[in-house]
Amino acid sequence: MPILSWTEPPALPPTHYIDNRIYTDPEIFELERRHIFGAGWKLLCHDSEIARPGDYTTARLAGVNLIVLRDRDGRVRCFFNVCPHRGAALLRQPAGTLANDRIQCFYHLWSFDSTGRCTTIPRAEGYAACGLTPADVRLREVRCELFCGWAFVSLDDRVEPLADFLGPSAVELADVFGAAEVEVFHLHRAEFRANWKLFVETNCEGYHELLHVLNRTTGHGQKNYAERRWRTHAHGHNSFEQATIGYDRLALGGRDANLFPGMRPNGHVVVDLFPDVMFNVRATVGRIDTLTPLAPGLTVLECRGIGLKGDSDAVRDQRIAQHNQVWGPAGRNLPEDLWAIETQWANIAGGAPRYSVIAREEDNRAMDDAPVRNFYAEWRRRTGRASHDIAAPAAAAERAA
Amino acid sequence: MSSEAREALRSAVHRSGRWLDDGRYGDYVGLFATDGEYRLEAQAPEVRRPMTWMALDRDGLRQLLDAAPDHQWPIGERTHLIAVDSIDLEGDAATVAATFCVLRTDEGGRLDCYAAGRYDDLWIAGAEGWRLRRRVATLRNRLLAVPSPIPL
Repeated sequence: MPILSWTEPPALPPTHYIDNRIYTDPEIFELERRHIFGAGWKLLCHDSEIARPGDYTTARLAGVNLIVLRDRDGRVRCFFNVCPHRGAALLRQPAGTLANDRIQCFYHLWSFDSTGRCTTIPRAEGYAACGLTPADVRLREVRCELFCGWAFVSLDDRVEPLADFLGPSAVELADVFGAAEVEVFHLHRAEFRANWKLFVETNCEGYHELLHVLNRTTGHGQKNYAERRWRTHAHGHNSFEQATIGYDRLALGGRDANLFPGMRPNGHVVVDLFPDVMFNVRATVGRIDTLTPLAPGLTVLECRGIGLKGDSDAVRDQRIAQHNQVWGPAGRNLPEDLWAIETQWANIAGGAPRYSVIAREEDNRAMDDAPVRNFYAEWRRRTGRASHDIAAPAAAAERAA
Repeated sequence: MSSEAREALRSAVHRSGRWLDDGRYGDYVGLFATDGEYRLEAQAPEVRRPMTWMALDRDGLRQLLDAAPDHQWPIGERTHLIAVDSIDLEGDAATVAATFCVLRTDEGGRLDCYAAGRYDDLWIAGAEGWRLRRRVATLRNRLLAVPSPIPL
């Protein structure tokens, strides 16, 4: 029997292949919603998006609509975007600024302030018989912590402290994002027909770079490029050590001025946070990806472009141009990643192949699948399921590993 | 002269879409003046300012489109629908506003609206006819299907 057949599980350690039903199975999707997105930390936005008191943005996490805002005292808070009265939406614009520190439900005009306190219940005398007053009502607040200006939230009040969750990745992120204030200059969303984990995989393995003309031309020809190493951390986080990129090989110009802190000229680093975040810095400019799974085969990707606060107009224009060379909806790489995984999805959803292989071992060098395996180790821990066989408990894979 | 110029401009705006749809990228780039530029802009309420998604001069545009066959970009079959809203002539220059919609037909034959927005053009008359000195394509949609760098 060959190692890969179309009928049997691969003859590989269970940590080295995937049961493709983890992408398609509705029960697995629900487990992920509750135990990964509904229970862990999730990056929602950067505080530069809500710079002034009263600024807010909205998001959806594990099926729950949320508001992230800066309250009147400057504190970043997160609430359900849900009126406690009858469940109507509170803020219906994707982002904006509160007028008069007030969040008012448009259905029955219950009002709240930016700290979540209920300030007005119209015709309150109607509740006199049951004793309900504004003092009995608050917006549902959600755990929210900032790290280097990034707002992470969790729907689980008992979630571990963010610093514990980030672990060593915090140091790596602080090297690039902690030494100077950054701000978001670009945000776009793309909806793709594939499971969210397929996109995560593209962000934590270097092997797929063979797909990209840009990477083949500017990266793989560089001395020692393939020698750069992945670092795998607890909680499923990964980082890709800094390497030098030859942008000139595609006549894209060098990136040796206005560098991000900690970056070398033409340098490139990646920090992936479980479950869905990728921080990607190419010398002068950053890209941050997050994902919102809508269904097993439907996902929204949200990409932010990052510059340094206080950039002159000329420097900002340069960062934007360099961002757009590779990233953004008109960049060269994103369409290729998304098209590749949509074709994966179309086949996997049809039942073939039944398994995917994540068996590359290169001492954590660029094309090792170790970061993908590290992601799935955390996935198993949280879902309680084995990634090589969805019918088996996670312990089966851990024992074999 | 004015009505001829208007007709020529209207025709040039429509050709710009058709040549992109037909993959005649060299002809498309040839519509731009030597100092011409193309910008793709969009709005995001979260960012609270206009965003530039592409800003290329003619050489940059040519370089990008020349490289298109080497890439794996899911552009499908594209169809531009363009309505010219206004043409304002002033000497050898013309500002043209138009509304566009780009439909995309995928490999399976399904057609979706990929993008819609507005062109704000500055055209210059020269020896070779009207040429684009500047096109700003401003998108009205913010959530895209799998995107592509091919200009809109």
